[in-house]
Amino acid sequence: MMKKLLRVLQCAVFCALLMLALSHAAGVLERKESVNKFKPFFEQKEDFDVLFLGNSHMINGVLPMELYQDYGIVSYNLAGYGNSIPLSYWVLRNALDYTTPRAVVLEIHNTRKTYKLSGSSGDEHKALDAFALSKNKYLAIEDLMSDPEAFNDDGYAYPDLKWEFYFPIGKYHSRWNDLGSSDFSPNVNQMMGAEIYEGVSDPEDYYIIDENMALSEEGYGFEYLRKFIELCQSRGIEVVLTHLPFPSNEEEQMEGNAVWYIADEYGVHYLDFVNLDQVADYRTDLFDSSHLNASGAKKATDYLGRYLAENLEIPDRRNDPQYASWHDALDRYHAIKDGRLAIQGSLESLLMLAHDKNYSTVVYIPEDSAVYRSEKIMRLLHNIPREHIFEEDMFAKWSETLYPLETLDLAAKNGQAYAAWMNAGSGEIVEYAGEEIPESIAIPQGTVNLKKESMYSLVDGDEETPLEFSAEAPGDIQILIISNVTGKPVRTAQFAM
Amino acid sequence: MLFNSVEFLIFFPIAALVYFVIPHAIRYLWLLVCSYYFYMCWNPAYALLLLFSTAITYGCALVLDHVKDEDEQRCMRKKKICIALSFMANLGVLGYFKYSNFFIDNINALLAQIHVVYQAPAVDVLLPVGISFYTFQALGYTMDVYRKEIPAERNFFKYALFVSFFPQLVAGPIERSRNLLRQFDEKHTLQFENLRSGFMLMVWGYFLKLVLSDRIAIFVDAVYGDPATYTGWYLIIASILFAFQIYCDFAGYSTIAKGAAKIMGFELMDNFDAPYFSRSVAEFWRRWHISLSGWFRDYLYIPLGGSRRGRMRKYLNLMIVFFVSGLWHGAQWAFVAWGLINGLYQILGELLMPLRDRAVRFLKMDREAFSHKLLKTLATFVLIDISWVFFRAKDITVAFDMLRSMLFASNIHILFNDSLFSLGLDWKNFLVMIGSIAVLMAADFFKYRNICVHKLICRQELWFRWALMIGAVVFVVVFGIWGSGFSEAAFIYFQF
Repeated sequence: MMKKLLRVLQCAVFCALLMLALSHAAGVLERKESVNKFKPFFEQKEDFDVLFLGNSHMINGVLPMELYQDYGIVSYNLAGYGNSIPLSYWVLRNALDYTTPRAVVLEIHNTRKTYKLSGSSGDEHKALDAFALSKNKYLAIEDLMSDPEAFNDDGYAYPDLKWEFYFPIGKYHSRWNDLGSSDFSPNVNQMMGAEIYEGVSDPEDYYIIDENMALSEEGYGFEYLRKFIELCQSRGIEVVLTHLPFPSNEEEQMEGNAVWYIADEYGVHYLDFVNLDQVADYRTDLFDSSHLNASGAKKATDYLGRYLAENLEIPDRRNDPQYASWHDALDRYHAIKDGRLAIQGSLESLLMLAHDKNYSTVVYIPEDSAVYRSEKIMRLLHNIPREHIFEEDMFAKWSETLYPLETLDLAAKNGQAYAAWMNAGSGEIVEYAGEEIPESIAIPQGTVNLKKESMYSLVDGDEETPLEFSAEAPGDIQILIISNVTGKPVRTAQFAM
Repeated sequence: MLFNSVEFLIFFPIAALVYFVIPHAIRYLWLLVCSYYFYMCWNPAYALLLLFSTAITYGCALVLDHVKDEDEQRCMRKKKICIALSFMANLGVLGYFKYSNFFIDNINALLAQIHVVYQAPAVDVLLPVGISFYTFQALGYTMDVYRKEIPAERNFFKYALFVSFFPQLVAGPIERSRNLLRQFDEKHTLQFENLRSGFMLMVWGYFLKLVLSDRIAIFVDAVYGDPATYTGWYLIIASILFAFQIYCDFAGYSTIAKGAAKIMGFELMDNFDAPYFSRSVAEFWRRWHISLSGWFRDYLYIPLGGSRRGRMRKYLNLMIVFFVSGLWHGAQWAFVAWGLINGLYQILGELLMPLRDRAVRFLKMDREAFSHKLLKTLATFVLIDISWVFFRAKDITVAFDMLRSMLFASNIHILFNDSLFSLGLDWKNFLVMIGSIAVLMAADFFKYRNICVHKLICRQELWFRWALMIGAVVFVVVFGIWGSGFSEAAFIYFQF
């Protein structure tokens, strides 16, 4: 009998060790995108006040760290690439196992899609893998992958893939071939789930359709939008639906208009930025045909932040000791932004990133610069100090904000040299053109010394820092970006066009 | 349900656990239910074929057991009629599902040759998984009863389990009734040793299938899929690798089957015995697919007269056996050619024996020297590998073209640049493949020398055994080709 017991014990210990070894291997082999995205979410002990859900439009459209910086709102962006409304519903249900927010903001783009899952298993794994196995995860997998007629992009029927969502090693074991240092020191998301896009795209033509033109409610998208709202309302969570700005086609606008009926029916907030197309400027704020870049995201985030603070009374946590760790998170966020500015190689993207409250920019443009002949660069220069538009400004103030650099257009017209200092945080602007350009420009961080065709040093008190600009080959534009947070220069760059 | 599917990994522990929990008297019924469920996971309707084959052979055996006649000759005649009917019914079903289209294609080709416009339409049937295996197993049983080697099994359900026993149902080994049937009456208890041995066998089987066979298949499929582009040394490398692919595929399945049966207390026969260490083609066939070779030997070669009726008749019998063996493997002339080549090897081997002996004497070769044994092993491998080209190629013409391309290969440079790594396996995967083949060959070397690796491992201390077993499982899970990243390649031998 004793021998039998020992055998049983031996088998149990062996199985436990085997499971341990396999789970360790699974941890190493797993794609880290999901863990990287959600790790800060799981590590947060206190509740988030706002959660953002939806697809890629939301990931790069709303920046939680900007919300915290400007409004003290503690939030997390749980949106995922290609997330359908049903998937967003299940991500929320799983997330509610960990936190109880006051409000949930859902991007409604692609509500018109009739499927439960878009077909990109990689994105779906990213949305679900990080959640520990639980009743809600089980329900999510069973619900989302039950249709034998639904196939992913590789041609696999979803029911056949279920087990890979329970045991992701089935998906990732072959990654032994691709393991890199990032698998052993994961690159955790430092923006509370959001991502920043850095390109600048030219917008496609669009027109705003009649608001009465709406799609009929068909398919899983609309069905799960209702379930999403009902889930939140059953738990006393405020719902804000958004249609983040981008130049949408007719079908997409009809989708947005259809959501008005549902929002009215349930009495939930709905911000249709596609109709509020003054909030973002598609000529400077698009990464591609439908996604916002950093500049656009900051404008949309600012609008949303004020809306949430004023209409939903989301508290300001900046002085809440329970959320003290957010100060460190904000410092890390600033460091990331500094880093991105420091390495940005594209003039368009650098100017776009300079539209940021945390930075001041000094610009020097020599006579007859090619910059003056680029409408896009001129717009991006105007965009640097541009004020954000809110609901009350929409019609009254919008046109005034379009061209804040008054002297720039004049200098361009006359082919004169141009120098300006602009603080995107305070909105202060100092401009000079032609003969008016002084030998030095006084800015809060010190003095920028100029000589013909070039900036050459920044003097802060007794310390003079040489600037890496060349007077011999000044290029078409010279840019100095200084952090408003640290007061230190983060980037000097000159570009020839 | 494939052995390398999640369904099986859930199904098998449940089947085994319940087997040990329920009373001995009804265990065989439980295994029967499991076996039919296992088979029906693939196609429920085709379970009727399994049932048909079972019913026919069961009834035939009962009749054979009951036939009594004072006249010995009349008695034998009745028995022969009975067994002939059983063979006709079973082979008729097998023939319909497996060979109809082969037959029709050949008739059509013949008609076209004599300019007859009519073309018979093809039969739209799906080949039932494992039909060749269970048909042969059931026919073997009737032959055993006919020869009075075993009495007919009275219990229909027990006999049905013999035909459908799930570990070896769809790809063998083709078990003998005298070995397996009696084991259903034995009272098995959950033995730690069986559990450990079975587990180790299954892990080894999965290693052969997932790490080796399915990995090699990626490269071989790429080369054999486009022999016009991948010529010369590509084909040589792919053909060498195919020899390992088919071995690992089939031996992998057999080993998993043996391991699964072992855990439940059943002992299945060994199906492979280090075949690539053989020093002659005849020895290879004693070590390769032993259960099928044995079946052909006992139920075809010997009834044909074997080697007792003179040399010419022996050679004819050999060719008949290998012709049927080729046809058994697939309804294509390429398989027939593969079978006949192997038969021819053996005949030529015997005919050239005096010449070889003279050459050995003339060159003063030492038959016991390592180099001589190695030469024979390599020569046997090359001969077998040449026959595998016919087995794997699209058809006989392509096989000959490929052999010609290999013979006149001039692109040896591909071995020294990255060309081989562009065919689905990068250098890391190649390294895993080569390393794993080395492990396989080391294990087979021990087996060839009658050294039991299993016993060697069990003799080690606990920490070593556990580290080895856990390491092996993790290795198979990580380096195996499975999951949606790769297509879950079916076992090659299922198609037979």
